[in-house]
Amino acid sequence: MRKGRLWPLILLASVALLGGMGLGLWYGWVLDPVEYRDTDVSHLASVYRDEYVLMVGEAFVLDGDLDAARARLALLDLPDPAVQVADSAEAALARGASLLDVQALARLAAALGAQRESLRPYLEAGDGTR
Amino acid sequence: MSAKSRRRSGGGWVLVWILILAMGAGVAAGLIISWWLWPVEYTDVSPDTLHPYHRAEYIVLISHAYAHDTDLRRAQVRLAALGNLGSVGVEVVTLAEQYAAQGRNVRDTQSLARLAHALGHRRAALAPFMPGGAPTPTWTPWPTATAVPTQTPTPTPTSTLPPLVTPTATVTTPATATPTRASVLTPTANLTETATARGTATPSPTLALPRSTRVPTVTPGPTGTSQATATRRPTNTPRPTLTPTITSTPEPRFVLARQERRCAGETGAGSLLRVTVLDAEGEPLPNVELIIRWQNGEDRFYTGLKPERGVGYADYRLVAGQSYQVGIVGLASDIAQEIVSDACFDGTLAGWDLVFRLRDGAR
Repeated sequence: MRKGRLWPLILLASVALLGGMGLGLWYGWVLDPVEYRDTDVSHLASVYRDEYVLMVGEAFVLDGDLDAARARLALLDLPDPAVQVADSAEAALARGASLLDVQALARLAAALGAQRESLRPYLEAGDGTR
Repeated sequence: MSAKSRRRSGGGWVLVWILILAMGAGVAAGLIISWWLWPVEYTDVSPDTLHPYHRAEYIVLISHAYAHDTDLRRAQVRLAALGNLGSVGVEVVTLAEQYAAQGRNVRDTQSLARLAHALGHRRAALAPFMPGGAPTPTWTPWPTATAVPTQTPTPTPTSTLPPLVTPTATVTTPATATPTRASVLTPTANLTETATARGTATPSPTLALPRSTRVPTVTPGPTGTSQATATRRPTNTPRPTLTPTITSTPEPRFVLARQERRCAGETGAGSLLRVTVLDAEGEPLPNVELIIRWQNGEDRFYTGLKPERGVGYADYRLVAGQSYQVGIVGLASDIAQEIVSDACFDGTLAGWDLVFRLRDGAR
């Protein structure tokens, strides 16, 4: 009889445990989740990463400092910055971005060693600076 | 109370305690899981969460981009992603002043100054870093036939400084994502970007890059810390020299507000050229480079080397009989001409007082 009376107790305790866990999870994930501050650029959303790459290209066209451009791209933790920049240039071309933008990205990609036939005309279209 | 009823009431309290403890253990387990083992991971953050070091770099990049394409609207959209545009604008000019004071990379400072100026923030300390809007000053050509002087004077500058060169050391700053507890934000719409085409006229800036969408994801991952080390290669910061550009829009310019001959009998200063450089508000400007030319040479000197006479003050010892021209380096400037240290009525040598005042493009 004593053993039979333990099962309801165990069941109740398990329900309480699970209920408490659910409460804790709800609080930690929904009500008061971890909020990151002091993030770095590698955590940026894709739209901001694309803007970042474009701005690195524009800065490179402005000062020609490839080392600085590489250091800035390194913050994005890209597996292959040259390919990423070239892809960004082609994407900009496809969506009809301004000539200045395409040239900046194309020149940066070329300087990093990524040669694309589709971008070659934009390397020869002038220095793109103002 | 019977023994049986006492047992029942005692067992009831035990049950309550067990339930309380079980629930507490469950809550603790849930918090450990959600805060430590599998915390919410934000993978699509917006620039307003960046570490201050990365935030500053982001602002510098925006300023370079603006210097490249001069698209102020797009620069404003990019800055708006960092926070309230008004306060970010102040942040831009503060960063520019900080860079100028620390002798950081000149091009960075120039770009920041230019962006700050475009946003309506004018600072005297940034005037030397503003791009020139006019061709280099026109100097009066020296006459080919001149009387041979009885002596060949050697100019003795009263105060000169070596160029402001500050090597910039390698900066290594760890960026640590610090998990903290904060109120959850209501998830907003998906991120969209509206590219503002250059040349289109719209009445007000369209801040089309909203903040990050915080969507809790159940993603087993690390404890929530990340580190990134950004390094910059050492650069030698050269003397600030600006490449003049031709533009049809009015640009800031130093005008010669006063050129006055002064006899020693009045001031006792002898043959001294005294120059004061002021900004558009009439405040003295330090660290302004002045150039003084004479027939066989030139020299440069700076304001602010005698702060007891004012941070915008500079002086130069003139040589008797020599004719000088004086202007400001790096910005469009009037040229003070025919500055000659000749004899006053009392036989002493005349000195000169010059006042240059910055006139910005809006005036």
